[in-house]
Amino acid sequence: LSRYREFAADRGAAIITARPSALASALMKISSGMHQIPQKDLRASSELSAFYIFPPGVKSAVGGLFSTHPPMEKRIAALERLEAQLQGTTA
Amino acid sequence: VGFFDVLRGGSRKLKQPAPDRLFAMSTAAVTMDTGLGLHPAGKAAIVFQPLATSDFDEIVSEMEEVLQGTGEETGTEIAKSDDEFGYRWMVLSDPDVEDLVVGVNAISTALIGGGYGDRVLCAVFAFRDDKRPFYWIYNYKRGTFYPFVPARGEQQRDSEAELRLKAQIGAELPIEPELERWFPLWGIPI
Repeated sequence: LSRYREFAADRGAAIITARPSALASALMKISSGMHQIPQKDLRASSELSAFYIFPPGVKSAVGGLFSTHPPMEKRIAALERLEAQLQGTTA
Repeated sequence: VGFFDVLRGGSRKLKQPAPDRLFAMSTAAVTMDTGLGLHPAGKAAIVFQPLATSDFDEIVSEMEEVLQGTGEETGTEIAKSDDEFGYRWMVLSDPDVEDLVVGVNAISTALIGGGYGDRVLCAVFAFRDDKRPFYWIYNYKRGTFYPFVPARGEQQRDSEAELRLKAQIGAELPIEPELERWFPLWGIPI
């Protein structure tokens, strides 16, 4: 239930401000690490993936079991759907 | 990719994503231009790491010749430059986005066909809205696009605008789902 309220709160805030992407961006900023848009240049990062030992995603699946809040990426995805509705670009 | 594939470095052997994903840009550009006030800037680039071998040089020079030839028909102009990371930018200029997509695809097809697919970093398509330039970056290894909106100041990006673009165009482009792979390219020369 608390997860549902979280989505509802996001939706209300997004509609009041009429800027879902602003809230999505704010959520991104406080979201820890995993799902942040990087600053590091692609050309400096392109060799990094060779050093991944665990595929990205394993950590978030384990974390999801114990979280009281909806996963940040789901909250952001919900806001993106709302943004698309407000923009009227999805049929 | 299974766990053991990852340990063995199996991801290197993943086959290239279907090339038609790149072509999604042709129709998405029309939607952006007509419906959203996001206009193609008439430029695109493909970024790759050149190799100092005669085989590689031959592929590149052949590819340039072919493009010069088709460019006479389509009006696409080609320029190249090298950046400080050691990557080469083949920059195509053409007001028609479809011609740009075809040109970029011709270059990547030549490199991948020559066995140099792992040297191809990305393709970049330049757009602008009413106030500033922004880019769609195509990651060849992933077969996905992501938006990159440089902001004022040194190495700043506007993530809010990028997420807005994702929401607006997500239905038409294969968007990179993992945001931590939305790597910027600072100082894009187009």
